Amino acid sequence: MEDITAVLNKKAALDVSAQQSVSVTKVLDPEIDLGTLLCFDSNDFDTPQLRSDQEKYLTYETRNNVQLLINKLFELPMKNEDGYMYVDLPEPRYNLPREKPLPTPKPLTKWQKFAIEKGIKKTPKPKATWDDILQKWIPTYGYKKAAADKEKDWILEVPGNAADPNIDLFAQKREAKKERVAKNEYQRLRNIAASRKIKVPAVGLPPLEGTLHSNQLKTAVDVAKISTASVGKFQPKISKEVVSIKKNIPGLKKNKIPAKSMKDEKSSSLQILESINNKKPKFNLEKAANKAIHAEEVERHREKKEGSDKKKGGRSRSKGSFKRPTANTGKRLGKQKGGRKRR
Amino acid sequence: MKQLTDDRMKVFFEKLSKYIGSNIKLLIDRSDGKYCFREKKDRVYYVSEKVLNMGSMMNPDNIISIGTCFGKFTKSGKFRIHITSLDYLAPYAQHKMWIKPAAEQQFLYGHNVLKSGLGRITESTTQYQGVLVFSMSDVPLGFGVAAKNTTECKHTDPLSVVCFNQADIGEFIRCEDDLI
Repeated sequence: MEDITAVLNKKAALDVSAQQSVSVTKVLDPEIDLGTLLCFDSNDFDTPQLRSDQEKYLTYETRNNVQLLINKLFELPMKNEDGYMYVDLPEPRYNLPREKPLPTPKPLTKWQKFAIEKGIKKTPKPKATWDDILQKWIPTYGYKKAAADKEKDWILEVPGNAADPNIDLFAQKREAKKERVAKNEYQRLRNIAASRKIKVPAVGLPPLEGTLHSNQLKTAVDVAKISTASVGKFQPKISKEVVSIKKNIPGLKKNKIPAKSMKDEKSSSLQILESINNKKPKFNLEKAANKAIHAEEVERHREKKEGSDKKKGGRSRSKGSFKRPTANTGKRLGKQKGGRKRR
Repeated sequence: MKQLTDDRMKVFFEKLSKYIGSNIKLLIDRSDGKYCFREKKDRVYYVSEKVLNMGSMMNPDNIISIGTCFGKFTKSGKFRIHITSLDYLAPYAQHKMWIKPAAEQQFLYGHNVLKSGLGRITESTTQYQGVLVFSMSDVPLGFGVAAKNTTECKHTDPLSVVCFNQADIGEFIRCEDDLI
């Protein structure tokens, strides 16, 4: 019997100690975030204990905190599936800080920007397409595609509207491909330059082929002129050169012209006026011709008048006998042939 | 308020000289005081020295208009004359066109002048010459460009255009917002 009571007592003592180890009390409740299984203990250390036996004390504290975490876990609704017990962790509340800053989004290329602006969506291309001529599946890119192209293009049709039928179409095709590749490479580099904000010279690199616009030529001359160590200070002037170098070069700061005094302004504007007036031809042929025509007309008119006056002179009419024209009462002569020319 | 650059001054004077020829000199060289041209926001103003000095007291950003607006420079660098300059240019006009009272209204609505509406015209007006348009009672009505020279004007049919409208005093009402 004694044995039994002893065993029972032992068991009870064990239970109590187990209960004690499960229920942990702290002055301040530690912060627990179940989503990330985190526990923050903001209580103060017991300094004498920490000093006496640091290792034991820290293990004890840690155990207690883990116990609290486990207790919280067991409060969550349990689920049973295939004999396994599990819980769903809630959304984490604590945001773990990153060591490094967030990656910046990749800068968009010129085409991507344009596509977004226009709402163009990328259509996925199939990995391989069926070729009716070769009767097999040909990948969209890769060495197999190149091989297929070679196999397919053993002959090329000369277009009906070709200027020169003897031209090498294969060479032309190769050249076109080369151009495309070069253009793509140029655009790729330009995109990189734009994303890193490197300035690509807009001028000074005129196209090597073809004719240039006169403005482009002017700009090229201006750029060449100031591209010396002295920024063009000692560059000789071409006769009749327009001194507006800085105006033509993009990106160059323009100097503010100092304000003139009222007197200077007046004289300079009068000078400009004079130059405009000097430009006008002194003798305007059109004007002179018009004047001559006009004089002639006047002369003719006067002669006509004088002539008619002479005629009329024969028929003398006293002033008193003058009759006013009467409307709708006169005699109509009927339709006359010819008649007066109306204008 | 800027002084006009030489290039702009040239463009401006070339336009003015189409209407008043060498009489521009009389606008600059005046006996009754000093006058000058100033530019603000691409618009050219004719300002007396007195007004200019008063304007200089103010913050230039707050000045909307000063003196009389003569016109504005377009984005392509040409000069466009405004009707507000009419009072200054009318006395110096070298080529004039008088229009009949019946055609006045049509002109003031911004339409071109037809031969039928033409009352008188200065002799020796060439084609595409800038002209000032007057009513028969010598009231200045606006600016135009002669579509035909004087001799041609006499012989054309009455429905043909004689003068293209460039600006007329109807704009004071029609373009109230644009004119300064």
